[in-house]
Amino acid sequence: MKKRTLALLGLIAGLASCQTPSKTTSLEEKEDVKVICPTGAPAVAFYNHAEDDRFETNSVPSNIVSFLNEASPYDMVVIDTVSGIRAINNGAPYKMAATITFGNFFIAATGNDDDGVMDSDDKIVLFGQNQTPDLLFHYIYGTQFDSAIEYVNAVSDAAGCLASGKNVATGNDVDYVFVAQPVLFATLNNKNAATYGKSSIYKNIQDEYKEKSSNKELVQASVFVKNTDKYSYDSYLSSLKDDIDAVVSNPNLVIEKLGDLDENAVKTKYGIAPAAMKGVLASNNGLGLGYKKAKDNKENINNFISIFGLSEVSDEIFA
Amino acid sequence: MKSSLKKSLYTTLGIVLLLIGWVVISSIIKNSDMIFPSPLKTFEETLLLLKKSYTYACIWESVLRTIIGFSISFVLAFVLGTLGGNIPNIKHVISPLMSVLKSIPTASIVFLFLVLVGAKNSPIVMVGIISLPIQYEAVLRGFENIGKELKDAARIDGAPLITRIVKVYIPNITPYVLVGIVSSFSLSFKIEIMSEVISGTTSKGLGSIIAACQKSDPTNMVPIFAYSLITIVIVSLLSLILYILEKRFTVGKNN
Repeated sequence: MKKRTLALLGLIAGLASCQTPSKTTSLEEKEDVKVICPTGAPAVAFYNHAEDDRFETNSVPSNIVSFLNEASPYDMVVIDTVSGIRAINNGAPYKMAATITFGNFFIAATGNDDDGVMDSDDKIVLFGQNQTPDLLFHYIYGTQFDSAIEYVNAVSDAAGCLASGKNVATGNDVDYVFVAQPVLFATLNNKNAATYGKSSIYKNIQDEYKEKSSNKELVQASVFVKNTDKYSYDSYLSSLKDDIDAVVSNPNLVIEKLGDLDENAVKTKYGIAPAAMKGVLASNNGLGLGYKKAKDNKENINNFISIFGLSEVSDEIFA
Repeated sequence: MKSSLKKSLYTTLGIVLLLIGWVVISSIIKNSDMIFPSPLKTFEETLLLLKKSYTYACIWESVLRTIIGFSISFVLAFVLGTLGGNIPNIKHVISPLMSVLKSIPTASIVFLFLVLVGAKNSPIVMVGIISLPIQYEAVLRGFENIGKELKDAARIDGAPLITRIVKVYIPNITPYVLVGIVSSFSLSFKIEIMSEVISGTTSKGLGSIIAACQKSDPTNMVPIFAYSLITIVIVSLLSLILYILEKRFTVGKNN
């Protein structure tokens, strides 16, 4: 009996010793992380990777979504949070690691409105009907301005309306324009624009969103990683977080890192010239850069994606 | 001599008329830099861009990718055209493929190959696919225009296949192939630039930099016009070189 008990104890101890390592074994740190990111605000987070061949950008965000698949050569995909979660819901083998852009949307005034207060008598230009800007605007303001809204296709068209004070498509004078950074910065600083000197930032949508949602954050673009059962991206992500924190507190870093490169080369890779990066970052972090681990940000993520009709995410989607 | 002088005069007149039209349109438009910049502003910006090495790197990369795509398509067109031009049944088999390639929307192909070959390389595939049917038709027409008598004579003479290809077929199809090259190379270069924009690649290239200028400051069209002007000059030069080569070869052959 004693022998049997000892044997049983020995077996349990043996099994336990076999299991223990697998529980504590940490995942292999992924080296040579290959990243794809849309040009614009999220790309600026990677200002330290300008000459890194493993960091690629693409100027068409919808093209990046097509890289969220098994055959994708990219370990890390940066994309707008909603598209990323939608792709995961549709079976994309990626997990959400962190959010790195917390919104860069603004409403700009063209200077045409005499009373300087946006109301339903004004003309408001929104870009991307039924897309993020439109849905955000309606989440914040409801339908009170619907009779005043004129839609344009892209942020570049909205910038054109802001610069000219007119909607070329309708011929109407425009009072307010929903627009995003860094295009807003370029437009406000365009000396040839008809509205130069009288156009200004009217509302920061991020602040409006916070007010509307009981202080929740707008989780615009996030980092998605793959093969999380094999690899850890902690080191890369931690360095990315450090880079973001550093550039938010010292925007001059983008000039230090990118200023020596050809301006057009930087513009091509990042979608923004170094001077504009610095200018927008220095203006109260106008690009909305930041770093928050997705796992610790579930409440903000769920609130944001609910605007797009997505149901709450489970913990399984987080890396 | 008189005729060529007359031609040059009319061409110059065409250029002057184009410039006048450009000046008129840009002066009618308010804040023209945002929509349709003047020739003066465009030329100034072009000169600035031509002082930058990055501009030349972009030109070179776009030209190189065009040459790669075009060369692959040329080899394929030559093989398929040779087969189709000599074996009618194969020509019928190839014909649906060429019809599809001729009519498939450019954007669809870019998206199709985006994941397979990456954003940087999809313009190469695009160039290959768009120019393949044009070059194939040229090779095919070349073979079809070699008289049956000539083919039979070469065969009856007992010339080996290689000799027939080198001495009979290639010299006879070359004018057609050259016409195919001349008519499709400029188009291929334009396709390359457009594909760079659609694929969203941010590697060096004229299409990439045009897209970057538009995205980073959509209220300033001057750099976009300047890069477009550079592209027009390159395409014109390439067309001229190919035209001269074609003429020289044709004249040389006729002599």
